[in-house]
Amino acid sequence: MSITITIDGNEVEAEAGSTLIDVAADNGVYIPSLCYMRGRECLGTCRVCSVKVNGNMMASCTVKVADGMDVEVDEAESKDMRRALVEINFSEGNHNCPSCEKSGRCELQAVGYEVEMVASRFPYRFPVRKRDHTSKYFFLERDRCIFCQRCVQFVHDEETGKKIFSISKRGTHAQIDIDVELADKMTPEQARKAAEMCPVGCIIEKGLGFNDPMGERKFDVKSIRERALAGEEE
Amino acid sequence: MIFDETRDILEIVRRFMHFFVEESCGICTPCRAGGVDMLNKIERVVAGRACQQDLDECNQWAELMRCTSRCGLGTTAARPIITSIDKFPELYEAKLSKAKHTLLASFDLEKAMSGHAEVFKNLVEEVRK
Repeated sequence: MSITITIDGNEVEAEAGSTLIDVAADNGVYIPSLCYMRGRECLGTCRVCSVKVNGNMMASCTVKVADGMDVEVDEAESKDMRRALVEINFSEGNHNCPSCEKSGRCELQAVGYEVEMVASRFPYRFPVRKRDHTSKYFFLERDRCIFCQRCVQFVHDEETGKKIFSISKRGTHAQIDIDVELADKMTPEQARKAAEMCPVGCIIEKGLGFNDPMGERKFDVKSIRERALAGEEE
Repeated sequence: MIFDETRDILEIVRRFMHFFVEESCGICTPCRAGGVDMLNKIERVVAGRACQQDLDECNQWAELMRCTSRCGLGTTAARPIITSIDKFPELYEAKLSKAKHTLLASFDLEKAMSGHAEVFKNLVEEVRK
C-alpha cells in the first residue's frame, strides 16, 4: 500500500512498512549509519541514524514508515546528536586513522567526515584492549571495535549455521571474540566478505596491508553519502 | 526509596550512575559509552574538581542518552544527575572547583603525582636503611 510521509517538509511516496532510512535514501536524503546494511535485518546498535519522527528522536533503521509520518533529518538538534554519537565512538576506542589499514575504506571515518566531526567532545579514554591474531584469516584489532554487531549477526559457519564472531561480557567490558575453529574453516571469499563488512578496522584480513593506494580507496573514489543514495551495499 | 536529610545526595547520585554503568548491556552506543562519561562527570563533581562547563555538559549528554538510547535503561540512566542538578543546584554549586588561576579544574594533581610520591617514599626508606 502506498502512503505519504513528509521528510524535511517534502512529501514523499513510500510503501507502507518499509524502513525509514531506506525510504529517505531512495528520495535523496542521506541519513548516516554505522550498523545498518540495506537489505539485511536492522541491528539498531549504533544509533547514528537517529532522526526526529513526529517530534521524537528515533533510530531511522528501526522505524517502519506509516502514513502521515513527519520526519526531520536536516534539523540542528538531531544533527548535533548524530555527530555526538559518532564522536563518542571515537573517544571510546582507539581510532588513529593515519596509521590504520582501513583508512579510506572505513565507514566510521567516512561518516565522521559526513557529520562534519572535528574532534570528540567526549574525553578520549585510550582503552587498553588485547588484540587477537590466532585465527588464520583475521587480525582482530579490538581497539577499533564499535560493537555494531554486524559480524556477530551476519557471519555464520556455512555448514552448521553457528555464529563465528561473538561479543563476550557486557557494558564497558564488552569484547569482540572469534571462534577460531569455525573461522579457520571459512573460505577465503567468505573471510574477505566478513572483513569488508566491518565498518571499522577491527576485523582486518591478514596478508593484505594497505591494499588500495591513496586516491583509489573506496571512500576516496565515492563518498559514503553517494554510495548510500545510490543504494549500493557496503 | 526513602532517604532522610543526613544522606549525601551527590553520593547517592554517584552510586546510581555506577549502578547504570554496571547494568548497561553494551548493545547501543549512547548507554554503553555515555554512561561512563556521566559517571566520570559526577565523580569529578564529588571530588570538587568540576566547573560549570561540566554541569552544562551533564545536561547535554544526559539529553543525548535520553533521546537516542535503545531501551529504558539508557533513556533514564542519566535522570538522577539531571534531576538533582535541577532540584539541588546549591549542592552542585558548593562542590564546584574554587581553584584560581588554573587552566584545567579537572586536573587531579594528587593522582598525577602519585607515582612521584611513591618513588620518594621508597627513596627515603632506602636512605634510612
